[in-house]
Amino acid sequence: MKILSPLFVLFVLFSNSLMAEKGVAFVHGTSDNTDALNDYWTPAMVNSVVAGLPNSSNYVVINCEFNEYAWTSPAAGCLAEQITNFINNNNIDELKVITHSHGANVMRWILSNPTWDSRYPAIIATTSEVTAIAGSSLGTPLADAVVAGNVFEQLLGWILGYASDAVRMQQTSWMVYYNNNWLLGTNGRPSLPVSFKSIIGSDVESAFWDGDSYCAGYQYQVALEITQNWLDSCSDGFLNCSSQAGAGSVWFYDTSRTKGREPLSHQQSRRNCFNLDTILRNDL
Amino acid sequence: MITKKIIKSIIFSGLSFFMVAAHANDALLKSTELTSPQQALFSINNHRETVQFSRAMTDTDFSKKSQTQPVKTESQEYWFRVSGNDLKQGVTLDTSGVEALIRISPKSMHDPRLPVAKQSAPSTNLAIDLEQLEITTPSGKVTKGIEAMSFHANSKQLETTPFEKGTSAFKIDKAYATGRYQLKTSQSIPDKQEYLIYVLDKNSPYKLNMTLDNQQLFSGQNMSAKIELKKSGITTNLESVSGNIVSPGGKVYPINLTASKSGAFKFEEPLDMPFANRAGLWEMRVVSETQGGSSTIKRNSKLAFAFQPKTARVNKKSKQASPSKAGLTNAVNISVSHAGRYEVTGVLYIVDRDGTAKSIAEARTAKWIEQGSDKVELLFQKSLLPALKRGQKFKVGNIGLNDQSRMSRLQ
Repeated sequence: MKILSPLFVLFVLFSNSLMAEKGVAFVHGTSDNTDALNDYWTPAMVNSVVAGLPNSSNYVVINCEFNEYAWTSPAAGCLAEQITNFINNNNIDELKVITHSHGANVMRWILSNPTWDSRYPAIIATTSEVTAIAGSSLGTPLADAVVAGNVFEQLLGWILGYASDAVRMQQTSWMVYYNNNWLLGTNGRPSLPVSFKSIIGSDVESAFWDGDSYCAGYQYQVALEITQNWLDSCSDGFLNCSSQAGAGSVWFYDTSRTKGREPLSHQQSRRNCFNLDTILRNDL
Repeated sequence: MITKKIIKSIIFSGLSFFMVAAHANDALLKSTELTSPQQALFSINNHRETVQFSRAMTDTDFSKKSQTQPVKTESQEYWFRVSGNDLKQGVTLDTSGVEALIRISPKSMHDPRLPVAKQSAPSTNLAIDLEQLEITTPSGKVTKGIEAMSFHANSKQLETTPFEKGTSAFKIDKAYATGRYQLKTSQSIPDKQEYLIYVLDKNSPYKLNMTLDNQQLFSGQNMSAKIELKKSGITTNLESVSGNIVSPGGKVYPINLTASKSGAFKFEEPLDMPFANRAGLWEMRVVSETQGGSSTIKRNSKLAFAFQPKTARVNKKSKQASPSKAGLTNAVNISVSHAGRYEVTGVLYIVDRDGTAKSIAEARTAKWIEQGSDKVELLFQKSLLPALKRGQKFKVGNIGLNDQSRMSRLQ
């Protein structure tokens, strides 16, 4: 037994070195978060997805200031910091990143600009795949509409208005510039260094008699049905399908995989609606 | 994956290199004047560590999408600001398509004594109650409340949308004609309170097209913009267009747009504004008006572009790429007018005997460089280098240069 023990230890160490330690990072969209688990994703969604991991405690829910421009320290810098800590603290060597909305752009910033920050190359090397749910890859006309008419206060040299820098960045002509010059993975541009696949939300349903309209909150469905007026007929209430499909490859359009072929609105695509959580779990 | 990398590196460790350094875009390497070092510039990336990165890349051409690609937009919308008093007296708006979407948002009241962060958001109490709105249609019919609306949403329903607090919106019922409408409220709102009225005329045949030839400009470089009104796809005469250029910090520079024989308006001038003191894009914004039957066709449009300092350049052809223990290195010499973090990128090609080049990898290196000259070394890792067949050679090309501190794409 005394002879076998060191061999056993070596075997265990060797086995561990061969086994990938899988982890998942959940990256929220445009908002400043301190508790994205409860406020953005909900524990029901996150816990259901991570149940597909060999070790279901190997996950991190990112909390950053995504109202800033994607490249800033409170946005991509914060994301890099939290992912790096997660990788190091849990010995993760295979990271799956699940993003929602503008979170896809912040993640894409890291993947597209590996030398911007010394933490980025290790994140790229460890990331096996990004699943971008309803990513705003080509921006949204809704951001153009929100920013339109903001007053420029010359005395302050600053923009007064509702829109944050992240909303400004998601204006369509702004994203044309960033996609053509600083981000990879869109049509005609070099590919991203890791697989980047999209889930597309294609419609909003808000009929009060339909129980499906209540998943993730009926009031949000009503609001997104209103904002659909600014968008194409194929949209999730915040983003056109073309924007969601604008970077990487399309994994699936909501109705092709969801329970009851239900569409996922921009609010529902971050919650456990219509088996989205199960689809993501089975993909880990 | 790690094991694969090790095996690859063993296989290629005995590679003999035969390379030349060359640049596919030599024309871009010509010396150009750098921004004066005396000019103060902001810096958003102050990381000091040198970071090298390389990866396999088989895209046919890394810089296939050139930086001078035109950008276009088409607008079926316009917006304007009115006061609370205006709304009580009645404001007019023009439509040229059925079911125009109208959004009314109270704007923040700016208090000059307070910093931006302390400026208050508009109160929902200032929201326009659609039930108290009176709409006079183009035929002169006066409708009350939501009678003339096919769809309406009050500020409560819109509070989870990205729009300003207090926003309400409605669509004009398609039973009503297009033309000039009047909106009037009987609501008690402050006379001086400002409101934004935004009209999306989605079913109108009129679209204002705006094109910028180049979305990335250096100081002194010509900006070329074209604005034209199309009716059902056919260019129609534009009567008046005004425009300005707006910096990322909000400074406004009026511009002169000139009418052309085709009916479009053009702007073609070198840009010489001072650089912005913060990151973000500049915008060209235009407002147009044209008479179209019983109403005025109004359109607003805007397009973003980068206006950036030329803070560095590649000095000359770099010396030959050379093998090292780590792989293949290629040093690029650059001159820098402002201290900052600069990134050099390059693509590694395999060139066949007949001159056919195929990209196999890209490398990037960023480092902090003080004002003056320095070299940046690209490293194509050994694991990325295949064994060359007879007559083949490596070539490093498509050298790119980025100022990460100012977010300028320099080359």
